[in-house]
Amino acid sequence: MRILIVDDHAVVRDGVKTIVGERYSEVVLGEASTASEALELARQQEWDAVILDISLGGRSGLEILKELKQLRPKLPVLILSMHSEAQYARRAFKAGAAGYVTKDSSRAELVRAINKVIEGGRYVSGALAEKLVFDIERGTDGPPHELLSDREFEVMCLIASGKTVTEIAEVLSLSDKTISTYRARILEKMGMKTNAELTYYAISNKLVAQ
Amino acid sequence: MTVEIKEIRRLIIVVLALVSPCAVAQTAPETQRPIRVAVDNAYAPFAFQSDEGKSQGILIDQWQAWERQTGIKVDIHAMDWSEALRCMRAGEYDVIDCIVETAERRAYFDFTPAYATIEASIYFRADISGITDLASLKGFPVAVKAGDQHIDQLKANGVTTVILFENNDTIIEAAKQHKINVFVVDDPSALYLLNKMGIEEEFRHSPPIFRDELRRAVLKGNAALLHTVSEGFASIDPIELKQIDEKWFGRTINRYGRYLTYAGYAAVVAFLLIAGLVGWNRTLRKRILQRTAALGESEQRFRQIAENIHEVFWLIDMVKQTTLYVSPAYEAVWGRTCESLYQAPRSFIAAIHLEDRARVVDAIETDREHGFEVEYRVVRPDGSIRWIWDRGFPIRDKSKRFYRVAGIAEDITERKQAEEKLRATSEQLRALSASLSSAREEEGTRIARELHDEMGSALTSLKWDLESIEKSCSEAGNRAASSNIRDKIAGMMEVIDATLNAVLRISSDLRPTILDDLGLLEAIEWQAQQFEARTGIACQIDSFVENVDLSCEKTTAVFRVLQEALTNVLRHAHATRVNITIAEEEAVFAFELRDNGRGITEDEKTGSRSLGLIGMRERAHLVGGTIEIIGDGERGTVLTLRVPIHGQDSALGSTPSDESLLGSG
Repeated sequence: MRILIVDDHAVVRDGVKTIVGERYSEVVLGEASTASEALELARQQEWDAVILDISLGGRSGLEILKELKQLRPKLPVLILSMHSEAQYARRAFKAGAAGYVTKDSSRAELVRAINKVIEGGRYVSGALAEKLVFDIERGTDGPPHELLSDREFEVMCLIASGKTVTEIAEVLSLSDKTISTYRARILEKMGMKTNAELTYYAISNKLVAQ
Repeated sequence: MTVEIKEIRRLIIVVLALVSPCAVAQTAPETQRPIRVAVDNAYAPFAFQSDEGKSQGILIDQWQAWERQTGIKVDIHAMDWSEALRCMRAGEYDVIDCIVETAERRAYFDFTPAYATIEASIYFRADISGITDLASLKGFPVAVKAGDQHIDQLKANGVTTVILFENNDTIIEAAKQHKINVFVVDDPSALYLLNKMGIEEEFRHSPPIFRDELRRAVLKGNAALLHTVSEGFASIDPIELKQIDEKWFGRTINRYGRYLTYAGYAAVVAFLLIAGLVGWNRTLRKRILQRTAALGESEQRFRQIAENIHEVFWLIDMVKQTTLYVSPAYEAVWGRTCESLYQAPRSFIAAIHLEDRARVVDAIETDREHGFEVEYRVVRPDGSIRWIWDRGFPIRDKSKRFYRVAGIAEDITERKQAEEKLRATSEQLRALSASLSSAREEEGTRIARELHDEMGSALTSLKWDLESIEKSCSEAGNRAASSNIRDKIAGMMEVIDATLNAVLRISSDLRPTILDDLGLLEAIEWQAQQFEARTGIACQIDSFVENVDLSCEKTTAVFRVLQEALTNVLRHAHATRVNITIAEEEAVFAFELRDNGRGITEDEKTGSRSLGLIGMRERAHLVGGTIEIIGDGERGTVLTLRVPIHGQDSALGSTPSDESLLGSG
């Protein structure tokens, strides 16, 4: 078992080493405190997992993550971060992270996360998971128009009632370009291709008067 | 004796005629007895003696006309007037002519209507002065014709010595011989005779003192004769009478009399005219003096204004392109003489700073008929520069034609310098504020990072260590002791968690690391979520931007404006919902925050308590952005921030300094 620990704080690296050492008897631990060290080690040796601090001094951990994934696409990377904001987690997953744990997690949670990613699974800290799941739920449940923001909904109704982009721009005091962007976004969110579909949908769902 | 008998017979006829008018009427035509007429023998031009001793004059001619008209023969007897009167009373004659009606005479004469008016004046030697009227005759011996009807009036007015003469001829003769110096004679006679004698220059006369009407008279009661006489004269052609008058009157005496009258009138008129002119002239001079004084005062006032006020007054004739007036302040401000401007009106333009010239000329050309206002610099001959604020006002003549421009030019150099100083100071303050703000942001970022990472990591490490100790304790034998220690460890871990949270919160408040790590869009999203979670006010984001590449300063500015705006929503808006729209339009990052609260009021926008708004505006300004805030009552408030995506961060560096443009003066 080979695990690479990347963090610019020695205390954290030590902590992680202890925890990992206690969990896995035969483990080779690599340490890096900077991005270049990390990438160098990743390039030179084979690793089963990387535990990466997202806030590396100097370069953003996310960038290192991307480079790591380019370098070793199959290498699972567990983000160990001080940041409990969902935005970080989402970004991390987008960049190819296998798991995301915050540093205020317990030793047990950290161990669970490592296990999970080494096994090829994904892991998110409890509180973060809720936020992310909420995001996902917003994207899947309910009728498509509920995905729209208030303004998008307003624009959709105006489109459905037969107004042109220019007319809508005038009504809402926005530029044509913005309305066109709205329209594209609305169609995308609704999974539609044309204004006619949108109009049909709006009328069928009694969103606009016939 | 035959004469006597004849006389008696005549007398009888007259008496009969008096007693019985009918008898006379019957007998007179039958007998064709001539009428005897008594006249003065020296009453020119009415009746007087020719040099041959023949009677002549107006009366003689008139009676000849009468004779032709009536067919009754007339015998005219000329004699001294007093004699004529006496004989007439004695009944020796039928008619007396050229007589004036008096009360006394009415007792024995009956009179015809008047046929002429005669004026009589006092004639006196030219070297005598002071005789103007009857009263002034007192003490002078006065020559008068015997029988003159005025003798009584003269005496009544205090003339003590009246020298009686047979007739007017003798009076004038005596005057010529210096026997008399003053006489009263009817004007026509006097003038005629004085002329005739050639002594008209030696005598002067008063204004007329008597005015008498000449009549004819018959003895009292002889009505038939009076009628015959009157009717006869009345039937004479007036033209003939006029010709007679002209024959004797017109060309000799009256012309002279008229000349004198006209001369008198002319003199009076001339005098009145001269007096009037003198009076008018005096009035005019007085008025001119008054007007001149008023004008002088008015001009003095104007001068005092124009010459003592530091502004330059000017007046230009647009038709002739000349300078009509420029006040002396011009010399102080322009450093050139007024004379030079009068000489060369275009020198005004030459004095304008080269960089301002075209603009000024354009402004004047464009707006001169409506008035213009322009600021420019002038370069004095010594090279120093003054700032001028110049205003022109069009003047139109009576036909509304634009023909002049009046203006006032003010030296605003000091004001400009003060303005510039103020602007510079304001810029410095702004720069200082920006620098402080930036320093605080940097400091905050650094501290936040330190807190977040260093302390966060240290605390994490501590926590893990404690967990490790706790685990060891739970594995060790001494249950009681380990239980005690584990409680303590649990307590310590709570403290660590709380500390960690505090550290993260403080760090985040100082400067959210997300802003630097993930960028503006995710920071906004995060901030919105935080806001919603903390306040319960729904916060939705519409973003039409996948990513935005703003500089660090701009990112910070936008994020801080967002935070301030959200704080305002929480504090003041009473909103339940916030919509944030993020868009990018034509290289401008636009960020709109709309709430459904009560809407900001104008007072809140401009009031002194709107420091938050000032801060927002200042942040926007520093990165070249703008903020628009619209409060719409029931519908809430909309804040729009626009920031150019490219270009300089700081507005400070892009402002050119005008300092070099200011003069040394």
